[in-house]
Amino acid sequence: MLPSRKGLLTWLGRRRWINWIPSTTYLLLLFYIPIAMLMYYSFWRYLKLFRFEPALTLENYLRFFTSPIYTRVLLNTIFIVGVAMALLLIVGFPIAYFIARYVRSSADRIILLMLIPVEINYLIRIFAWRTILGENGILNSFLVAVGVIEKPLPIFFYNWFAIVIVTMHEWLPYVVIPLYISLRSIPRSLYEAAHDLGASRLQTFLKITLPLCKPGILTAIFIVFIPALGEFAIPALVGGKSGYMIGNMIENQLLAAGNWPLATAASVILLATSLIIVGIMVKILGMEALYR
Amino acid sequence: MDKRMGRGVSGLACVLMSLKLENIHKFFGHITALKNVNLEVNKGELLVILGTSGSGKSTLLRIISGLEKPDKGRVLINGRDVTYEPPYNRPTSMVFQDLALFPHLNVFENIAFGLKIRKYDRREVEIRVKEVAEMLRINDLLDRSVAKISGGQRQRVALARSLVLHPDILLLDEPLGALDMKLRMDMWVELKKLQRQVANTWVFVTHDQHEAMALADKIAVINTGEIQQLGTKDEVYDSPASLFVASFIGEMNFLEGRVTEVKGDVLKVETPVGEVEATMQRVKGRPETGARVTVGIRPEKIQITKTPNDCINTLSARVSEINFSGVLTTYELELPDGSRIKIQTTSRQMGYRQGDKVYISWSPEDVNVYVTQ
Repeated sequence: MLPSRKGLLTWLGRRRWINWIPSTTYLLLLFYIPIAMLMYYSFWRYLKLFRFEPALTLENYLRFFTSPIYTRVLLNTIFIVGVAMALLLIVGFPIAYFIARYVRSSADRIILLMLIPVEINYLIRIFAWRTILGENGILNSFLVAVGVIEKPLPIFFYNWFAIVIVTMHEWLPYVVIPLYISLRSIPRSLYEAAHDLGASRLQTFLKITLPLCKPGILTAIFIVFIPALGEFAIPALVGGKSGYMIGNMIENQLLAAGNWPLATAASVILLATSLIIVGIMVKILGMEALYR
Repeated sequence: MDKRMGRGVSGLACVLMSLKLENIHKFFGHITALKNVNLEVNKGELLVILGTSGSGKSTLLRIISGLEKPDKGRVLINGRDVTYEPPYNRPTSMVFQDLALFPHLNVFENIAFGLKIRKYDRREVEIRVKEVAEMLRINDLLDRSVAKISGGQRQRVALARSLVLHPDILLLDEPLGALDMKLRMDMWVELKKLQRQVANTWVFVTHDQHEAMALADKIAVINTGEIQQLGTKDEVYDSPASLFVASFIGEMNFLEGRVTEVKGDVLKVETPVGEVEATMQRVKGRPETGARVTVGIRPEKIQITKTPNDCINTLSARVSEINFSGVLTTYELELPDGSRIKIQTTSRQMGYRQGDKVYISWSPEDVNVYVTQ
């Protein structure tokens, strides 16, 4: 016999664990199982091009950490993304602060305008930077025209700093938005109280604004740092030799070298690296910042 | 030593004068927020600025604190012109309406904020914070988060955060707004005590006349950006300077009329219910014979009797409503022309009932007269 509607609801209400089923199933099928499979592959043995056999060996990890190239690539990746992240916060903060304090009424429109460029195809945007920073690009033409340099220099493109610039362009709105939300929630009276109690503008910024902005900073780091670490298109297109990142190495092993066990091991290492870096950030900024 | 003390005090005349506002004007676009405000507050006095919302009272407080600059006029504190000094260079401290406690700091850190900014050494910070916390009875809360204490306690933390700096002038912007009535009344008593204890000048902004009466040494009634009256509680209550003040503070019976005679110290007014006499010192302005005036009498200044007595201001009336509310009994009487008048008395056994014919009278000294035209 079918239970009545009300009976069914009470029956469901008593079994809270049922609520967990949809989300758990989703996460399990699309995230945890694939990650487990990825980890499993990383212990397989590489035979030759696209041939591997199931095993439980640590040789892929050993190869990664004993090779001077791979570890250098990993550190290089952390360095590039770290520089980009730091610059993003430095550039994004004043923008968010300005929107939150001075143009609140049209804040939504400004945020929307900031998001429009992000909606343009990713590859086109990357190529657009070539026309600015490349050897025949706008920057070089300008510098030649005003006589700073005699002929175009190839130094602005195909290096790690080009990655920093393109990455910043890519992620800026995602840094500004959480910072803006954090700043908006700080009542004006807190700034006034700080001034009234004797704090100068700088002291107010350091003691009130910045600490209260922690949730925004942490969110921005979560949103930007992790995907940017795995980036491979930007370094492939603008990075040159000094801009070789771990994403390129994984792509190369996966598609060209055909060494899937090494590629998956590198992925697992990248995942662990992200977690460690985020963990350090949480430790520094305080996790409770996220829940406040 | 307190780094804020003894600065800018020049000459004996200035020592008593704590705060002086001269011809303060403030405009927000086309709106005049403050119009020619002049105020003087002596050292150790508690001035309450009383006004409705939008009267300009908060703007005035913000100008004293330096959070807002006047468009015209001067602000003098201890005789020193601070009109264009930023808030952090003034010997004032403000308790904000929303209290503005720093949510990322605990109670101790909130109170210590100003001292740490002034680079006091840790031991002295600790001593001074503990001292003020004890005075406000929040010494058990020092390591608590400001989010996890009650409204009344938050109030005390905000007060402590300002008082710990020993400001020459403490500014309070409706700080009790969020508390319920009972707690507010307790706080009035406590604040008054505290003010006498710390003995500095306080400027307290409120829209609540009871709060003003409970706290003030002096009251400044402000309306649409202008100070209507500045005086002691007694002055403001007994002799309101304008019709606005008269109707805003306490209860007042109003009768409309026309001046029939001005002779020496006596002014006679013809009203629809009979002649009213007033003494000149209670008359605001200089009414001529024939001028339209409004006469105001406080409900508790009116006597009620069964038979007509031979006082000057005697009218006949009929009891239409009797309301006993604890200490006071309020009678509502109907006058011959149908208008109503309120009388308050503390005595309960007067033996009147609804519908009784009675006589009311009052002394000419208790009549306030305002020229309406």
